[in-house]
Amino acid sequence: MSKDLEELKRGYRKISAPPHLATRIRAEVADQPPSRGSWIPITTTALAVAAIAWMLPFAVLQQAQQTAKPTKPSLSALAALKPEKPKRAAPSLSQLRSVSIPAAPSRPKPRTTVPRSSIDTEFENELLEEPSHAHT
Amino acid sequence: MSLDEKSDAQLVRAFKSGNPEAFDALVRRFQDRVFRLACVWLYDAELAADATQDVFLRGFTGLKGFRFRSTPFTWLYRTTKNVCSEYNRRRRPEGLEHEPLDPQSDPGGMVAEVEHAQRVRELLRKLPPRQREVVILRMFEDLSVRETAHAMGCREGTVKALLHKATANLKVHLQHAGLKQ
Repeated sequence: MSKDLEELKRGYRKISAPPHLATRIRAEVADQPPSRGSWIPITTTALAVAAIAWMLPFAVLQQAQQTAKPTKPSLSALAALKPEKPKRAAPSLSQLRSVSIPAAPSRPKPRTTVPRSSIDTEFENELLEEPSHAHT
Repeated sequence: MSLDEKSDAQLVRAFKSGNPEAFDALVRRFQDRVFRLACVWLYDAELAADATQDVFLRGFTGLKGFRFRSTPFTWLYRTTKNVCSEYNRRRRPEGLEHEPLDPQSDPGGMVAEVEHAQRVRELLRKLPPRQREVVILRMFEDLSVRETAHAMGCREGTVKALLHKATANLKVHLQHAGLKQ
């Protein structure tokens, strides 16, 4: 740092607070009302202790009940259990062959001629009929 | 270990744990630095004393929730800057800086301090605000680059660059002011 800047720094450092300032600050701080939030930590702690004290008997009782109950089987023990399926004897092939199967109905034969309806027959008859004046 | 021998962080911890003397020790340790900052930023020594008192009043409540993410002085520096900004917003347009100082009307004996402060303030006012901060923190208050960066809320590289520019500017202004011997 150059001499000028050093001199500037020295000038700056010579500035000091007035001697009575600390006393003023102490007096001002003493006049401050208690902070609004000062009760929060105490209340929070008291509530937490009360909650623990209230829940503790229940936890102890629950633990005692668990020790009295039979222990639940583990998952590996449960997995080892397999349901027993009813055993069925598989039929042999000869038994399957001996089973009689009813004959299937015969399939209808396809028609070679166009089916004739009664209307068509009457129309043909009318065409074949000669008129009354045909042979005169 | 007495309170005055404790580090800044230890003092704050002692204060947070409910030791009222720890706060008095904090005031004794930092009042000069806070007052200097206020003298540079404000235009009246009495106003600087009031601002210093306000800073420590805020510290009495604010430091109870201090989380040690920065140093205690960084917290005080930022609070001083905010308080002085508020005072400057309320000050009259015609400042008292150009009024001749009368030692007889200065029962607090702050004439010398005011003169020093005025000289520093006149020079620093010629710098941009960020360069001014770097000069005060890094050069005058001897904070490390890291602490300065933390107080200013910028990177260390930015502090170095600002310091380089501020030093060059100050040398020019000092030459013009005729302080160079």
